[in-house]
Amino acid sequence: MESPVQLVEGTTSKKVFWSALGAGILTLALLLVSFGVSGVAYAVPIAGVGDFYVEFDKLVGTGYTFYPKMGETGTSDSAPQGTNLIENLTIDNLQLYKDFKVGGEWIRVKIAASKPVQISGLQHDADLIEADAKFQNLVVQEKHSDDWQKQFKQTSSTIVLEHAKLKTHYLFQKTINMNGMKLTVEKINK
Amino acid sequence: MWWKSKFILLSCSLTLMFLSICSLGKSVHAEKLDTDGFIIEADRVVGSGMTASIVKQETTENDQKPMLRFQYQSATIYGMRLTKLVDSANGPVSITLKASGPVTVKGMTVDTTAISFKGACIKASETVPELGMEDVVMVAHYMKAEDSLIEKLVLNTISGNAGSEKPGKLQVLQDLSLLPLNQLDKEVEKISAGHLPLTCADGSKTDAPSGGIGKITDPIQDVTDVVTKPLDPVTKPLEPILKPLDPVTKPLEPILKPLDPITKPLEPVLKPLEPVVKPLEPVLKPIEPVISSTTEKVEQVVKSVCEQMEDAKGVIHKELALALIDEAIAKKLPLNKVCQSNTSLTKELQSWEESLLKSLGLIDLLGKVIVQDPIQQLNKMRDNISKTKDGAIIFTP
Repeated sequence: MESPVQLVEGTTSKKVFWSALGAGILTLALLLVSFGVSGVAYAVPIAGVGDFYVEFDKLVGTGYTFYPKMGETGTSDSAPQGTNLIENLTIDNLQLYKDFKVGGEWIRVKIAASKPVQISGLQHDADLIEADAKFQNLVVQEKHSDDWQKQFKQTSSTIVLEHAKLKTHYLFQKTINMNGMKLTVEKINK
Repeated sequence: MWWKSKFILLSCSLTLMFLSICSLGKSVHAEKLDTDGFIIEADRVVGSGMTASIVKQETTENDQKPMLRFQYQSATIYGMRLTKLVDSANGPVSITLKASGPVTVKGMTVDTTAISFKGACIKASETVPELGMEDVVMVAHYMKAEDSLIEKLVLNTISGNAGSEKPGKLQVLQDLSLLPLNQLDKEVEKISAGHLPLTCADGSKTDAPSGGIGKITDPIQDVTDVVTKPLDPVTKPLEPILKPLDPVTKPLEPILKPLDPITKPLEPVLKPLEPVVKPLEPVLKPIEPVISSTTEKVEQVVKSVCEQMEDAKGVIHKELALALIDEAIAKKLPLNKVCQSNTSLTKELQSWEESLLKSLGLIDLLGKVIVQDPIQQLNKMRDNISKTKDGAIIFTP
């Protein structure tokens, strides 16, 4: 004799479901409203997507520091990079993009800002920077330290980069004001 | 007694094992990576207002190390590459900063322990108005620039050692590093006060291979006007001083020569009696106009420089330009004061002088004249103009 399958019927608490959904929508709405009103996003990291490129026409910043580090990239858990810290900066014609190979074709996901982008508290890890650069009070020096990351440092009171291309692995901003932002996905020939 | 022999055998074995471990230990140690300093290489460095001194500075491995400090008022660096090697947990990492375009810096300070270059010998605490160096390689530990413009910068962080071979350490710094701190300060003061040579064994020689100086000036001249001309007066400073004497001595020659035929014919004239004395009077008189006319000629040479310029309506050709500069050198006056009596000529000379200074790179970005010995400036102008074709028009108002 086969034992009959006993079906257990569950019930959803309508009260819990609607309150959770309502709270989620409200939080999202508040976030979108706050971003829409002020145009400012706080503590924005861009990481975990492997290396991507940052290009812009001009960057003007203050309080610049560079030092070496080892960090994660798209192909390695630990690869040499340089950390660039800039306290406050404005970027004209900013473009961030990454290329993906999907089924034998290349696709570029690009975020671009048509208006100047204002950032504070930038940390930018890159292994390659190409640009025309201007510095004020540039200091390149080495320090007597057992920590290899503290043995070499480059600082300047102001930094101006023009026609720049940066191979980036990590980007973090304390605050970013990115007006005229546009996200595009396009097929490219590579 | 079996235990005694066993004990000796065990002792010997343990000693041998300990020695083996010690000897192996040495070979196991990896060769220590030389990460001291960052290497700055440059194809050419052209700077003004350079002073060299000895300072104590921090390095990766040392808190206070004697170093050679170069301070430039301004400099242009061509083909600059900066490499720093660091020993990370995952092996050596190289930070490279390369500029494909020229690097322009103002108020630059560089501290170095080792340097090699082609150029003049540098002496302690002596300001060099203009200095050119070629094929520069230095181990720097500190670099500061008030303003810097780096065209076509590539900043790269890569695995491995991308640095070039370091140059040999400077002898003077090696000697100083052996001294105790209190003696070091005294020795540095002595070197500075005595303006002793820092980058060569004696003041006259350079670290460059033989014939290095001659090779430096020529290729520099081909590249840019602003950069190269300051080097010329270093190699031939005496030429412009000797040349101005030529026009003074030459005009005298035609005065002396005409006298010879006049004195000789007198001999046969004296032998005859009275009738010969009278004809002598007309012979002696013509001599006076010869002398007076020659003195006038000398005056004309001096006067005619301004007059010629006036006649040419301010257009200055090569020969007139050289004559004006010679005049200025002889009178030790700036070029614009050669024709002081004539206001319009003075104005034209002033604008010509400005254009010459600009072409020589002696006027900075703010339009101010870079301070220099006026005679040296004139010599540079003269050298510059003498290279042009004969009769070439140098300036038009």
